[in-house]
Amino acid sequence: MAGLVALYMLFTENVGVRSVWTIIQTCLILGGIFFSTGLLGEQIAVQRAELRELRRRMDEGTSRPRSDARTSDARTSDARTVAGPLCDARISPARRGCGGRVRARARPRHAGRGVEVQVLAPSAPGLAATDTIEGVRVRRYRYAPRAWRRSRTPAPWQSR
Amino acid sequence: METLAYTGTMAEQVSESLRGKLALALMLWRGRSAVRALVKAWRPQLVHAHWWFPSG
Repeated sequence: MAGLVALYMLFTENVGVRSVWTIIQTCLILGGIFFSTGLLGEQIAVQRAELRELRRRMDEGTSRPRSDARTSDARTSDARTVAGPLCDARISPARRGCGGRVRARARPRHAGRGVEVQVLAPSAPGLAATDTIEGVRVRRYRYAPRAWRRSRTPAPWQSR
Repeated sequence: METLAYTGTMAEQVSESLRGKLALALMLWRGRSAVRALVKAWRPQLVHAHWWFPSG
């Protein structure tokens, strides 16, 4: 209404009311801020809802009775998870390159709950292509041609 | 050449030599292929991926 009155006065009486225009500018700015923050909040709410749904599904998949978990094997597990390289030689070199953090990050939450975990990690000289560390299968993929796989510098676990 | 991972010297190897850069490119590419192959063969419900990059 203020804008309409201001426009009417501007065009009919050739009078501009600064205070009215200031109010209009303020309203526009506030409107823009509220609109953008509302949009952002809605996006956040959607993401949180999706996260809740995923957690609910995970809980449903992992909260089966223990008897099911005990009898599940690689073919019958309720959920399967591919974990990225959960390893760092400096943290646990004794684990021979990969899998040292499996127990810390993946296994306790899922082991015995019908979830099968496999770890996929890059290979390194002296490491097998597949391994099983504390019951978790570790697959290591090669990333260099066979002729290049000789190491110039020993890995930490090789120098010990 | 497969010395990028687990040694803690990935950044140095990649920044100091062409061989390291090539190895990094190969590692990323082969990692992508390995993930795709495993996902196709094993059909996991969840893929949790992370890497302490570029420390190795």
